[in-house]
Amino acid sequence: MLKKILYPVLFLLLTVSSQAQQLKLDINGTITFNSSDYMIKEAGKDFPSTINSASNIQLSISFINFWDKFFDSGKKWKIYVSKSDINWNQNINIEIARVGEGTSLRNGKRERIIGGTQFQPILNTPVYFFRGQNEIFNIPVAFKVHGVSVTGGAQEIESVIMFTIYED
Amino acid sequence: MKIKQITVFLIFVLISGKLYSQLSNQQKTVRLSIPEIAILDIEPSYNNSIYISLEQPVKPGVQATIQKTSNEKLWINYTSSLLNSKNSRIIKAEISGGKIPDGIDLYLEVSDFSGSGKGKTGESSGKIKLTNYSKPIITGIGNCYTGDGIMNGHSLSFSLEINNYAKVHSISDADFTILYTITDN
Repeated sequence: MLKKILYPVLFLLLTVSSQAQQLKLDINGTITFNSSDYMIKEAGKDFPSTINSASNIQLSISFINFWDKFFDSGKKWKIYVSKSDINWNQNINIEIARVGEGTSLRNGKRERIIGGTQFQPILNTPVYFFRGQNEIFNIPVAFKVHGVSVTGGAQEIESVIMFTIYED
Repeated sequence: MKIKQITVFLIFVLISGKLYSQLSNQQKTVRLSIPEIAILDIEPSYNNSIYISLEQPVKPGVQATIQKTSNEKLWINYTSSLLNSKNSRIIKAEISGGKIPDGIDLYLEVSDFSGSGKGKTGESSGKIKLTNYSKPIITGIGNCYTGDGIMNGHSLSFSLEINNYAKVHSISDADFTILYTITDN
């Protein structure tokens, strides 16, 4: 009886553990906006309705285990994005888009990246961003904000943007 | 019995193969610093001088006629962003250059806000006499913008009044400059 339960459970654990943590996500760069976009040069005007990020960040998806590059190279993944507000003005919306393909070590032979090229709002709950296959490095990601207005007053707003990679 | 064991085993294999796990997550902080802003200008931005003349009376014993030779109305535009929304700003006006001829007063009348702006725009102080000392012309300005250009903000109307005929005498053109300042209240 014990064997009946033990074997499947062991197998389940083994298969799950073998799938978990095969890929990792890294982020380079910082999300910045030009302070000049928050300057009013002409009295009577408000800030621009849309402000684009001055610098992009780059996402890299890579295998943790060296041998997975060869034995599990068809690995598919998907990325979700969400935000966790520290001090955020609810009139301000932040959007995200993938603005490039990134690079791969094998000249794209088995790499694939799909979706995420249209700006989409970042919500406080995770939403699908884009998906891909295999290792891809330095995928550029840009941001834009809407709704910044002088009517909200001078303020510091801050949120943490979270990216999560899942098996696909 | 063996078949049952194999079946259970296979079911687990299939289920385990379908489990998608979260592999990794990373985060980045985004910060926006929206600064305090206090800026104003007078529209139209080109040639915003006002010409007022005092013409001699058409008949003896009748008071002199005050004529505004430029009909253009001026408008004041402003944008204000405060750190503390409970605070407010005011706009003051004063004669900063030149001297008003003796016997004459210069008045400025500020309209209520109108235009395409939003937020807590200021309130007009009405008609005030301009002097070398700054006086509030718009008060209670919060976080707002008036819109840019003429027909946005508050219109400014100038007028001359003779306060003492005994002191009025013929002069050539008298130029004076009016300075507007937006300050924290």
